[in-house]
Amino acid sequence: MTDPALSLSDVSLSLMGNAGPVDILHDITLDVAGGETLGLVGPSGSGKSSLLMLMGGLETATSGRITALGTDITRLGEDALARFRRDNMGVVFQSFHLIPTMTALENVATPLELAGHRDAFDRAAAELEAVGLAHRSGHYPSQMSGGEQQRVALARAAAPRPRILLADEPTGNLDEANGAAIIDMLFGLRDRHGATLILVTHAAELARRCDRVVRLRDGRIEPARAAAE
Amino acid sequence: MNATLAYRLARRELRGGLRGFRIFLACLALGVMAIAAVGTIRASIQAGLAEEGAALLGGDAVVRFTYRFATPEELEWMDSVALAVSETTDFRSMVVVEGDPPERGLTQVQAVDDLYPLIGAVELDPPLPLEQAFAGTDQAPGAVLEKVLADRLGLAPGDTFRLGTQEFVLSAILESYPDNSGGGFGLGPRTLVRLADLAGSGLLGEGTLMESNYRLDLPEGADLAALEAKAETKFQDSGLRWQDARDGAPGISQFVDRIGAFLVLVGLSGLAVGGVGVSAAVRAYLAGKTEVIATLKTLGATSGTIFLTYFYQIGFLTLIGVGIGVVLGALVPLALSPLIVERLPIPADFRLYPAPLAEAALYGILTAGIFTLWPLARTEQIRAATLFRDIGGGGGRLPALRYLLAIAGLLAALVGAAIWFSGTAFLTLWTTGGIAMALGMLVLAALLVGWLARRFRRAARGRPTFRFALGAIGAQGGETTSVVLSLGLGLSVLGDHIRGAVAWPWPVGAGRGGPDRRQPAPGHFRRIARGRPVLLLRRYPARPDRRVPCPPRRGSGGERL
Repeated sequence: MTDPALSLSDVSLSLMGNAGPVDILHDITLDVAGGETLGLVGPSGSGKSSLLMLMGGLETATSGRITALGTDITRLGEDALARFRRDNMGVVFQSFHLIPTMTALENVATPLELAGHRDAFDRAAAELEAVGLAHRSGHYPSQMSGGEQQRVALARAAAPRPRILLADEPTGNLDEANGAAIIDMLFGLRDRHGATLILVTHAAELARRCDRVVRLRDGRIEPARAAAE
Repeated sequence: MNATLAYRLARRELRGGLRGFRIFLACLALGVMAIAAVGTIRASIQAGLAEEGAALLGGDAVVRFTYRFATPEELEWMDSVALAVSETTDFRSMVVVEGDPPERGLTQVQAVDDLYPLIGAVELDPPLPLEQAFAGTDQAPGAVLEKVLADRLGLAPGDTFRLGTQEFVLSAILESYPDNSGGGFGLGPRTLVRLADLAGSGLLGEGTLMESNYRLDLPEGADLAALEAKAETKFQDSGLRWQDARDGAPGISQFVDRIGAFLVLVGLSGLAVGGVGVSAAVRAYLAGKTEVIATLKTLGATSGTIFLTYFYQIGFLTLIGVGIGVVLGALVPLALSPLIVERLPIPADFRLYPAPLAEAALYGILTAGIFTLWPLARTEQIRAATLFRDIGGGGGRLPALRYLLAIAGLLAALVGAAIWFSGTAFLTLWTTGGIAMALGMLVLAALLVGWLARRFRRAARGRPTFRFALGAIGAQGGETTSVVLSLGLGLSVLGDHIRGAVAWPWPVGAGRGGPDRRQPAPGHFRRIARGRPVLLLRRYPARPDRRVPCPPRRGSGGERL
């Protein structure tokens, strides 16, 4: 068996609330193989998004260890984590989080520029074309529909050819048709780049397309079941 | 950290426009404008004084002796270097008006020769030639007095009075005279008489506390510095004192310097008030950018790149604000110059002076740095997790040590620059201490207000409007501190200036009898006034006759007494 792309060992997360610490995740142990597509499902508040953010180094675990592509990311500082994400990860959010003062092309080019690619804009243009938005490259997010914004966000996440793609309810803010199109594109990108894809979803249809589904309840993993089941 | 990329990102971010920065720009521009305008006016007056140095001095140079006249050797040297030499004598005396009881008034007598005034003109009321005024009547020689003294003694032209044992007839009221600002410190209003007419007064003799002045009309292009050096070498230890047109009115010059420095410190206080607004504007702007910053971090931007991105933006806006302030600070005095020159009792040459504008720009940039670095440093504390969880912008934590050190360095640079430019370390440090103390007290007051609001919120149950208001005031990381700081500091500075303006004896009588010297100056002026006697000025006349006809010899300068 190849080394896992992501490995979580006894990971817990507690956050400080107004009324004291709140336990979000408890002793999560999980391996995600390279190239695998993992669906994180569960009821609201079960800790799916928090787990995804821990995997992306966007959140800091209270205890436990997370290894991504052989690097223990729990030992990295904020800047080192940012560089690690820049070089290895792409993240897609439910709310798109495009930068409103940048055009679609500039939004897609930004991670490439941060990574120091001289051909950032050429590559960004190719990615926009891949998601069918070449004609919208000069438009600002406010001039695009939700579906178009999410396609730009997808192109932005995929542009640096990340080895790990994280998607947090990527269809949550979209209608059915747009949601289906986004899912097709997401899986298409995974297939094209051979990335490991981990996505949080409430959609059963989307979960069924994953290689494996992990169900969370009250911050704990329920017994794993194969996607085929 | 990628500076070029940060610059590109900053440019893209600035496409959002300046809408959120109107207060930022207004605070900065107004503060810089005030300092630039004061500096420009100060430079204009200094240039005017330098340009009109000879007229203010009453000659190209003046040689002074205390308690004695010049020796023949000294006179010979002055005659050899000058086209003309005018001799005057200054001393204090009492003007006595006979009566029962007799009226007495302290006066500063200036006894002059026939060449006086060497440069400039004396203005009398009624407008007589000075020679005619001195001619007097058959019974007594003539004299002229300043209006304030004549009024105090109830004298009108044609009346008589005594100086020592010599009787004089008041020929006219002395309106103005050309060397009124360079002649040293006078304790009383001026009386002008002919030197020769004091021969019988008994006032000038052995032991008289007098000063003799020899005003020199020098050839065009005379090397003043060389002549000064020569005089001081040739007559070393003789008590000779040299003054020339390079600094024709050192008293006024210093006074203007001090007042200018003081007003710049007032402007700096204003900038500190504006700085609170600047800081609040930047904080509000960055709060609106939290999502963008978190997104950039998610995409792989390091803290340094993000700090630089927003540093460039704020830096660019600072340059705009400072630029507006500098332009206005240069143009407003120029636009108002006819009005200012009309009301100013001293000469001023209004034009563009780069030095005070650069000084104001430096203050503006340093102040903006001090007040924006703190909120800018907070961008480092914004975490990528903010995108999916409301965890704030790291508002409660202090910025990293390097930023605190940078702020301290900028503050030291600002205070150092203010000391350097104002030349008054004492006043600058006290001003800085005062501002710091005021800021500290206002922060404590804001904390107290917030604490009280939280404490009384429960008591407001059942009154939702009141409870919401108290909740907003008491909220952690809210705007209470900023509002209390802005209002408190602004009102403190405003109140102090109004108090100063009400208490200050504005020289409304300048040129018309002078201001009332008995009025107390406000505290911050008193220190300046104590430092060096301040000359009270009259409107000085135009100088149509810059070069007077030069007789072959000093001639009838009056019989030496």
